[in-house]
This record gives sequence, structure tokens and C-alpha cells, in this order.
Amino acid sequence: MATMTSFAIEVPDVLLARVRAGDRAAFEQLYRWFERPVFTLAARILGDRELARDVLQDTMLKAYSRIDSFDARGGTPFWGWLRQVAVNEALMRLRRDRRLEQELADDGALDRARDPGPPPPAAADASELQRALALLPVATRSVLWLYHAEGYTHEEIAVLMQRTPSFSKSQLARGTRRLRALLETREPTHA
Amino acid sequence: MPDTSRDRDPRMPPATWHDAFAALPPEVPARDTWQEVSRSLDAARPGRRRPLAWLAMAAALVLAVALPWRAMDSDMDGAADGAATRDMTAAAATPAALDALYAESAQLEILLAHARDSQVASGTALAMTDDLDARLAAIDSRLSRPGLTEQQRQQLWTDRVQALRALAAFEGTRRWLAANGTHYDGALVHVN
Repeated sequence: MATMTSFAIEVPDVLLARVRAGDRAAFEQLYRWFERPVFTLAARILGDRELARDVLQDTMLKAYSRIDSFDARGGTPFWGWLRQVAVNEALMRLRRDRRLEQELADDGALDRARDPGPPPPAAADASELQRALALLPVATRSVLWLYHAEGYTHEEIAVLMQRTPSFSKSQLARGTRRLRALLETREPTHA
Repeated sequence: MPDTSRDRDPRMPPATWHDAFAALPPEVPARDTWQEVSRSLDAARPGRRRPLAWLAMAAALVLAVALPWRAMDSDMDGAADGAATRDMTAAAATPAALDALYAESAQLEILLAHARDSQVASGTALAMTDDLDARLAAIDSRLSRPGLTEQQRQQLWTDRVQALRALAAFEGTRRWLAANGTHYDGALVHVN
């Protein structure tokens, strides 16, 4: 899926080389570029700005300490590598707080409805969409964000969440339907 | 960076869910967090350059982690490139077996999240865990490949659980050493 993500920032090799060499100013530049994408992803998944700030810091510290393990020759851009670190940190935080496991354990029958259809007009209202997203269970919201906003495949989401691709498809179908219902039942507003 | 969401008429309903999500404004931390990150980097710096500790770490790695890891590693190498070759001998993959692996994996991740304490980690210990983390990342990368058979998937998840067990054992040992007033760097010197 050719989804454009806010992480998709091309980082020059020379900047990465400076970060690898321990250039703090270069790392600060990298930090400034990715601060918002990482924080936004964490805030959407966790639904908590303080936790998102922790995830932002942990992600960037981990990226700094492990930047030698990033190899652009593997075909993955730096932003993809960093995004993977950020997603793992956010999901790890959910597991640590036992929020994810509770929902995964509670998940029963699979929902295999595939095409959720286009979003309703109310989805154009950012505040309404954010409100509706916040009402979703955290596991469902995570799947929706990773799939719709970040463009991960079901197979990739399955690995990230330690479940099966069927689980991801089920959560996506169910969550998108729920999101649509929440948006369609909003209180009427006047522009 | 191109921002397609800005090209759309905001009065028009989004055509796709991706468009709707992409149009959400980015979240911004309430305060600048760079200084905190910079201070954390300063705190971690002294542990990062200790050649003697690195040598000591290598010795202890053999004793504490690498030997048991090697036994496991032969399985992992197989998982890397030839998981299909084990299909002939692997136990039949079942949803129940996979669910058990998912559950244990999740439990070990929770355990690790509790055991890990970056505030007390030395540079050498971080390097060791980084290596184990990198192996986990490699397994996760293979798991994300499309077209895996159920048996290959089960084998990779088995490898993942084994890797997490090794990591949990290492973290537990590190915490135990810390609780007793020492750490890997010091303990490793005694090994040499």
C-alpha cells in the first residue's frame, strides 16, 4: 500500500554519518525532524500525551544508541527503521501497563468483513475524528492507526502486535465500522 | 515532505480513511523535550567507551549468554534462510500452539519491560542487550514476510520466544547483580 506517512522524511546519508560519529548537533537535527511524527504516533496509539512524551524520548535514545544497527543497504529508509522503533516502544508501553493484553484476551470471534467503505463526511472534522478515535479500545485504535495512517500491512501489524494477520483484519473491519458509527451519531453542529 | 492532505479542499469529505487520518493535525509535546534527551545522552556517555570492559564483556558473554545462545542459534540460523527445510520434522502447526507462543511472547515482553531499567544500565550491558534485541528484530523481520507457511510461522515464533527467554534471563541477572551492589562491568573483570 503506497500510504504517505508523516514519517516519510528522507534523511541525507551525510547527516546519518555525523550522528554515527557522535555529532550531537546532527542528532538534534534528526530529533527535530522526527519529534512530531514519533509523538503523534505514540499519542494516537496510547491516547495519553504524557506517555507519548516518554515514548518519544525512549525512541530517540534507542535510535541514537542503536544507529549502527541501521543499514540503508537493506532497502529500508531511515524513517522506516525509526518508525518501527517508535511503534515497538508504544506497544511495549501498552503491554507493560497490561492494557493491550486485557483487550487481546477479551477478543473473541473474528470479524472477517473486509471493505469498510469510505469515511462519512463527519470524518473531515478533525476534532470529531479525534474524539471518535479516543473512544475505541486501544488495540483496535492501534490497528486502525497502523493500517490507515501508517500504511502497515496486516502481516506487519500481526508481527508488531504478536497476533495473526486474521486478528489484524478483524480488528480493522470491526474498528472501522465502529468509527463510522461514532462519527455518524455525533451531535449535529453548525458551522 | 509532500503533504497531500493540504492539497485537498477541507470542506470536502475525505475520500478514504487514510485521507481522513492524514488530515488530522500533528500532535506536539507540551514542552521541548530535547534538553531531557540530551541530558540522558550525557549520562549514558561514560559507559560507552571502555575497551577493557568490552573485552571482559566478551568473556562473560561466552559464559553467561553466548553458550546457551549458541545452542539456540543453530535453530535461529535455520529460521533465517531455511525454515522450510525443517518443515519435514517440525511438529504440526496448530492455532492452539501459536496462541500459546503469542501468550508466552507477550508475557516475556511484559517481564522484560519490568526488568529493564535504562537508568542503571551500563554501556556494556546495553551493548549486550542491543545484540539480543537485534536478533529479535531479525526474527520479526522474517515474520513479516508474506507467504510463510503455518509451520514456518510457528518455528519463527518458537525462535522468538527462545530469544525473549534469553533476553529475560540476561536482564534478570543484570538486575540481580545491581541489587547486590555490582554490575556486569565489575563482574566481568573478576572473570578475567
